[in-house]
Amino acid sequence: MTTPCLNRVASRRIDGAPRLADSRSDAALVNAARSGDDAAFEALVARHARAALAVARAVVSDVDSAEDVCQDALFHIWKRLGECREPEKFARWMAIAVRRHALNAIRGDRDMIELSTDFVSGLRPPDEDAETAEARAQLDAALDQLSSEQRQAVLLFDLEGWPHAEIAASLGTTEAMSRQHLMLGRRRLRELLSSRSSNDR
Amino acid sequence: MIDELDESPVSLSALSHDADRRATRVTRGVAQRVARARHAPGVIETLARWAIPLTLAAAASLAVVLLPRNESHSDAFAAFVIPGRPAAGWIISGESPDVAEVVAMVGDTR
Repeated sequence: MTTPCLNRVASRRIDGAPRLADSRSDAALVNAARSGDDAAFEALVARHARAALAVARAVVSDVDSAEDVCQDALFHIWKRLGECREPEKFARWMAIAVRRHALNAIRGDRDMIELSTDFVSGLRPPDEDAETAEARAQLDAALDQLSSEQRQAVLLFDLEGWPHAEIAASLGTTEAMSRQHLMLGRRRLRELLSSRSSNDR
Repeated sequence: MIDELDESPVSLSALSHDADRRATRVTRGVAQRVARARHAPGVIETLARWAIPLTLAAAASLAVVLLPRNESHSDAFAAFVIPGRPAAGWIISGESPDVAEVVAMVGDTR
């Protein structure tokens, strides 16, 4: 079954309602950022960075590279903020832009990506226990086996709680197809995880 | 909903903490890049900064090519290292600057 609690939380994020300290709506933050308020843009990024990461991760299967692509995409979004015609739908516009940026990146346009140097790839964070780290590694490996669309649908719906209308828009497809990607993605993920756990026994 | 009936979700909770950590890092990285971009000089500023040196260099190159070869190299050097009236005079009139005048100007500016 779905996780209604998670979905409710994430639906609030989509609407741009308060999640972090800044209580302004997405539209208000976009307009403030356009006027030169960098703190407003930072609040926008903080609010939607997880979803942006999920989109980048869906395209760039390596999670560390996805983080770099995501950061680069969000910086380019800041430069193109004036092109966001519907500030109240910033999350959707951002997801489309991040996906496009990530697709360009993996098509070999590597000049677009300025690799950050401030992260330590592949290391377990100090506050993550070994069991969680193992579960995360298994999930990451299984997610890598999904198609990009399935990965995006699974991550945005099941992890970030986005509704199908938004996922469909970010993928440039219909809601029915978004549901299809989610269903097939979940099925494949379950198969991969169960086969991995049976191999471990 | 079709997806709920056909396939129940796989727990992704193990990814959630990692996603938070990465999101924090991305937010910080983007904010830093925005701040750097704000303080980087714009195109106009960059052009303005380089306009005078580039013009002088171009004028010097042109003069070296066009002016008679019998002028001494030390005169040419003195004229173009010290931007001012002697250099301008040489470019416009083609007459070699008076080295004594150049030296006197240097003395005045110091």
